[in-house]
Amino acid sequence: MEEFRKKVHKRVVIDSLICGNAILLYMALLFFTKGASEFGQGISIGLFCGFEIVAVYTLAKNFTALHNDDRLKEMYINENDERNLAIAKETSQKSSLITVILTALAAVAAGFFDVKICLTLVAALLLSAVVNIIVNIYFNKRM
Amino acid sequence: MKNRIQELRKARKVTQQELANALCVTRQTIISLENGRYNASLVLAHKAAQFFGMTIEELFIFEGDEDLKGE
Repeated sequence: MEEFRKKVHKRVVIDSLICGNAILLYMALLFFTKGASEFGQGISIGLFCGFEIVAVYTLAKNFTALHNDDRLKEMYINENDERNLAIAKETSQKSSLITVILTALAAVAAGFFDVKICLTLVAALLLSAVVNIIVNIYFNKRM
Repeated sequence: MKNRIQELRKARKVTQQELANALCVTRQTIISLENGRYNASLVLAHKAAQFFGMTIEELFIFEGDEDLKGE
């Protein structure tokens, strides 16, 4: 449990840095997206706001857990419960397989209408395959 | 794989939540184990056996060779 407490403490520090420097991060975002299209700026600002909201939420959650042993244990159990981990693993495997199949079908369908979209989808499939191979090699060496 | 968790838990008047807390898992995991929908890992099986003061073989009933067919 002490290890987990340290982990939660680290999360609180990281979240505090993200929340505390929100204005600086926002200024940096504005600087880097200067000259970008209105749509692009809107997307990046929207993502930034979402990111900050998640950071505030996790900060509050982790901070409360850090000062309440019962909540900390509950959080530990929820995060480390082997059934939850097994479900997450199965979900991730099945959903990535379904995504690959749907992307492949979409690429075939797009081939009849727009070459650019078709090539983009094929590139996404290739990227997914490369990432899969790299992650597989990593875990083969690790386990 | 069948197990005697529900039987032993009830005999000892332990609630699912209490058992879940003792084994550091969620109550839903205990429910799934008792219903036979989920098979415990070796670590959890060990913890459960320790909790009930018996061996893994006494707590979990390995039926037949369904998991060995692939070998």
